[in-house]
Amino acid sequence: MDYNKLKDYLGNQDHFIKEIGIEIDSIREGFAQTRLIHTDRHRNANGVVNGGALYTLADFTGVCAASSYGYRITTLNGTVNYLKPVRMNDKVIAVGRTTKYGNRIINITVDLFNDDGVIFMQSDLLFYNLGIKLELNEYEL
Amino acid sequence: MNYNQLINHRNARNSYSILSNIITTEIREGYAKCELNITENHFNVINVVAGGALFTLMDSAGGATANSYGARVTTLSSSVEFLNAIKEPKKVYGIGRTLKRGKNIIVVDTLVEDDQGKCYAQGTFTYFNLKAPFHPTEENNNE
Repeated sequence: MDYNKLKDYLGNQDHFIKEIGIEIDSIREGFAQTRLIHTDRHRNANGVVNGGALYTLADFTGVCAASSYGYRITTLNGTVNYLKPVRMNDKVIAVGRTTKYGNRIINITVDLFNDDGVIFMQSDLLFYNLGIKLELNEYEL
Repeated sequence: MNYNQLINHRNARNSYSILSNIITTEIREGYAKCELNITENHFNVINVVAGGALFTLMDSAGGATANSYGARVTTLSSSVEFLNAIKEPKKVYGIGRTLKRGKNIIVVDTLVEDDQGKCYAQGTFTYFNLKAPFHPTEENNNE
């Protein structure tokens, strides 16, 4: 698996991720790290970063880690605990790790934290392997 | 509680909902409805609507439902199930209904459905009551 190509593919072909402002730092087998570049557009009515934006970051990080095995996947479900609000000046990094890689089901945990390791959110996500190989050679940047 | 003021307040103040193309259309005690007009920007790499967009719609409906009792809330946790993929642009609705209103905690059941009643996602959201009242009229006047 060419992880740099996977990173380019996921980072450039996903309209929603580009719209929300998520960047991929790294992907390797069963692992992904991303970050949210948030602005005033991500603010909720309480003046902190919206929980939906944080869930989107966690879900996409899970997608990156689950895709690292070379197949197209889709999210089945997600469970999220919000531990600390993300202020507008906080940096947000997400790290996803596979906890179980099955024939069809992939369990991923994703944590969101800042540069100092303060955790904002913990999540568990289930992905379904669609059984279709990712053909990254057909993908042109 | 003036629900129209609350709706206007939510639609004006939540920047991320504006970014996500979500508006709150209906609030009454223990119930809320939001709309998401899906555009091509909501699609992910496998050409279906991103789960994050549907999550945000459910959280918006859940938050509006929890707000219907007159106080600000914050999301503590959520559990969502994605039931059907949305493959083309359309309008879908997020609907929230209170399952339990406690002194500090409000649990809301949410779902995403279209005009035909087809359900695309379901979520259970838990909110914490911040005990800080809204002052929609005052805040809107300050804008």
